[in-house]
Amino acid sequence: MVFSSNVFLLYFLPLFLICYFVCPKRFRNYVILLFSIVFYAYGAPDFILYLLGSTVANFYLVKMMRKTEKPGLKKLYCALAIIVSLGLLVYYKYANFLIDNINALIGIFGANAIRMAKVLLPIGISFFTFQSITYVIDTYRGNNEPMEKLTDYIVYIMMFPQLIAGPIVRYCDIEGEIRHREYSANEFLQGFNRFIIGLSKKVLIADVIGFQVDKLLAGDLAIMDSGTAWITIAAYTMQLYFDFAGYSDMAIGIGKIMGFHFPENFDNPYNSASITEFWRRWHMTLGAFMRNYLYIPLGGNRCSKRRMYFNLWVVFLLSGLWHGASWNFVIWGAYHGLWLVLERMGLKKFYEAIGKAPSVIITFIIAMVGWAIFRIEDLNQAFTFIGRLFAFDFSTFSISADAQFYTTLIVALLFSFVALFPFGKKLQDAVFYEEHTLTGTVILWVIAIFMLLFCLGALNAAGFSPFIYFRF
Amino acid sequence: MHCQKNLNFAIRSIQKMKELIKKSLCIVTVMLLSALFLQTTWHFSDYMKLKNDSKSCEKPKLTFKNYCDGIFQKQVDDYLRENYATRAIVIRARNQYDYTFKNKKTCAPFLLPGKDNWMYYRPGVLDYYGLEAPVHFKSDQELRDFVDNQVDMLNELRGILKNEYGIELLSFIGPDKPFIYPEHLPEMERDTTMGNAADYFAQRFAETGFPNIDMKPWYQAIADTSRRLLFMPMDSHWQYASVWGYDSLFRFMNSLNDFGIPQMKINGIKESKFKGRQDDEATLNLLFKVPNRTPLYTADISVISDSTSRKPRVLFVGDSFIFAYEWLIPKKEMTSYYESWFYYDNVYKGFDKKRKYKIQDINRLRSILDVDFIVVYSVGYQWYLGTRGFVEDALESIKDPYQVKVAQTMNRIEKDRSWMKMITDKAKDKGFTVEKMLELDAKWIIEHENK
Repeated sequence: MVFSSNVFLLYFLPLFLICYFVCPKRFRNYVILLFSIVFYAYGAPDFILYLLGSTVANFYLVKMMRKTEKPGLKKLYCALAIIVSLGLLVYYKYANFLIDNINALIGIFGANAIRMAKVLLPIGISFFTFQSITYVIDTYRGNNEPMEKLTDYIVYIMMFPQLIAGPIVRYCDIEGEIRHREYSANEFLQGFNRFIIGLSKKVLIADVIGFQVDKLLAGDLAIMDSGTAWITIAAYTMQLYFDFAGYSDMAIGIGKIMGFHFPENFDNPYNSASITEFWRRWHMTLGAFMRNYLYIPLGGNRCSKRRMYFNLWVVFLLSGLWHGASWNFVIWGAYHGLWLVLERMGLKKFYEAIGKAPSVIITFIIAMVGWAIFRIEDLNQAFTFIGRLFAFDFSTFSISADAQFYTTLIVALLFSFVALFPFGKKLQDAVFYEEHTLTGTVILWVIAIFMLLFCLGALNAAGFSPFIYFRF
Repeated sequence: MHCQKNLNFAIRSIQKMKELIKKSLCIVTVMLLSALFLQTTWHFSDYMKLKNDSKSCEKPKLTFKNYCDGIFQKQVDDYLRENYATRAIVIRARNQYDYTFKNKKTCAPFLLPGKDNWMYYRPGVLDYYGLEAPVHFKSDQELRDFVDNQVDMLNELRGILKNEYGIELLSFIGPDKPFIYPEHLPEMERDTTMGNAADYFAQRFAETGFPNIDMKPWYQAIADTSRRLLFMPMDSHWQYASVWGYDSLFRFMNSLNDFGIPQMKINGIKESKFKGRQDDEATLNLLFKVPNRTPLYTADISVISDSTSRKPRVLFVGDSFIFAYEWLIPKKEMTSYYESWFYYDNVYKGFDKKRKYKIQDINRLRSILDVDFIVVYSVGYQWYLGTRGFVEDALESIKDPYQVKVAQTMNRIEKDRSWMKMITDKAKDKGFTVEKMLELDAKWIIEHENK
């Protein structure tokens, strides 16, 4: 089930809210559990047992890990729990990719191809796998105690707002709230507003732009003029951001309604003055995961410069692979890793010298080129497209008459960059994070209700609404 | 000190009130979402209901297989897209936007905006420009053959009805707005390769002596001199102007067999009290009424009858132009019974609008044999469909003596009150419908009469 669907908005959400708030506080985790199972099982009936099974296995492995006094055995349980999670992720997500590549490789030597039925990808596997890993490792490190109740653990892994597209919530971030949480009208209303903002980002911006991007990229990329190519990639850059940030807003919003405080996932990433900064602002929870559970264990900054560059690059290579089992994602990760290394090697000083505005523009262009690799799975096509971007051939360029697309794109660009200016940042903080006066609350609520009805209309006027980050 | 206490109390009260308002907003939010859920699921309110709304999805059925295959989820998506709570408002808002800002653009598939804020029914416009015939027929000859065949069958049916049962079958061709007021039509390229069905029918009726009145030429003739518009800019139907049409029709019916039908007297035309949406305006499904509409009119009609007058039983077989009869004519004073077969699909029996049936669910022969007049009528472009199957079905059943006998017997029983009461009680006991029980009894009587 997706948030921006009729089933969720008209059936699931009202029923959940009624059951959740009518139920006594001590039973609310069970309500979350029940609805989360329905949420997942509705869209992916084949995988619900797999998800529940791996979650239960992890819970008991961690419990046993915590009980044992022997360090060797502790390590073994920890490794087992990680293998269970990662093993399933590798099988479901990368088996096809591995077999295809092995077949391509052995094909060179004339060997027969390995035959294996195509493995279907359970939705959201990358997200809940990482969440369970944070639980295993943090408990192993002694950062937190393991959960007492299995149901609470399942709630942590399967909580529907963040189950299938994040944010990746570390166990220690919501440990207390799973056991006991406070509810307030303010939080409820802020959460509702946040949910509607996310829904609007998704339905009114990402979907509108995405429809056109798909049409543009379905054409012959080799003959695309540079103007259209830049508009296409700018549009995809906006689509991706508003799609994913919209989902994160919705997840954070519903979490807040339920009394949870999920970590932020985006902080105006396109306002970054370097790729290093970009990764501190884009998919922040993935960045934090990679830093805490991969980069630092690899040695982080506390090693030779060469080793640090290598660590950085490897982390981004794997981050790319996490996004999808395809070479374009690996190259996209490597591309970002390369820019990070270059910035550490001195590029950052250049950015500081030229000032913020030019740096932001350069970073935005680097990110856009990266998104071309990310979006176009066929690498030849991706490089052809990038070639068209930098061919600067505007001879056949003409702006088509799709006013809705261009208006939405301009609005998206404005929203993306508004926080660069002090008034924009102030406005954003006021809407998203600050407690409002009564008048402000009422005004925002009225706007939110209107936007909900508007989104419902837009959602049903167009059938195009895939969430991009679901496949990761 | 006391003042400070009061101040603190006031501040606390204000804060409490603010908190209360915020809590109320939370409750209203959940209630609103629940209202969306309830309306989507059970459609409690018909507020802003769309006119001519066609839905193609049935309620999804949950089975284990459907669910596992994802079919159920797909069905739910499709169903909700057509049934979500605010659909009518959203569609109206969208239509309003298009209509207001995109040069009267409309998504109503059968409407075409004309000049000067006039609306037209699309098939009528196409018919005016000669573009409707190719939609139904490949060539002019094919159209002519169809008309010939229909008229031949109508003549055959008329012969049987008149000679064997004393029932008059006649037709009238209604006036179509684009032909009466073509000056407001949208510009289109005219196609002259094929003729016009209504004209062909009129011509063949005249040639074969089938009783028919073609109202189109007469309405065309008076359109320029009439003090008021005969068709309103926002209405494709003939409305108040129909009174002259029905007056002519009843006079024409009377002339066929000197039945003694009462006469209509039109005393005057006045502005209608109806301030709702006019026909095309309603079909536009906008949020707001179209500004500066020409008002509708109604006619002040009295009926002149004497001791020799007889009110006929009439069956109308045709299109939506019959509704003007329903609204404007003192029908109980003009007819003793009337039945309307609307597009040969829905059936309205008698003066009670609630008695609505589907055509396939009634014994059509009973209705045919139970009236004095049968009027086949349609507005211009509807004639491309002929009588929509009426004449074919009527001929087939009327040529079957057993069916005729059953229908007549059923009609005979129905007119006998005590007999009907017995049938009704029997139907209740046996769990049949009254109609079914009536039919069984009629068949039983016929069998026993034969013995």
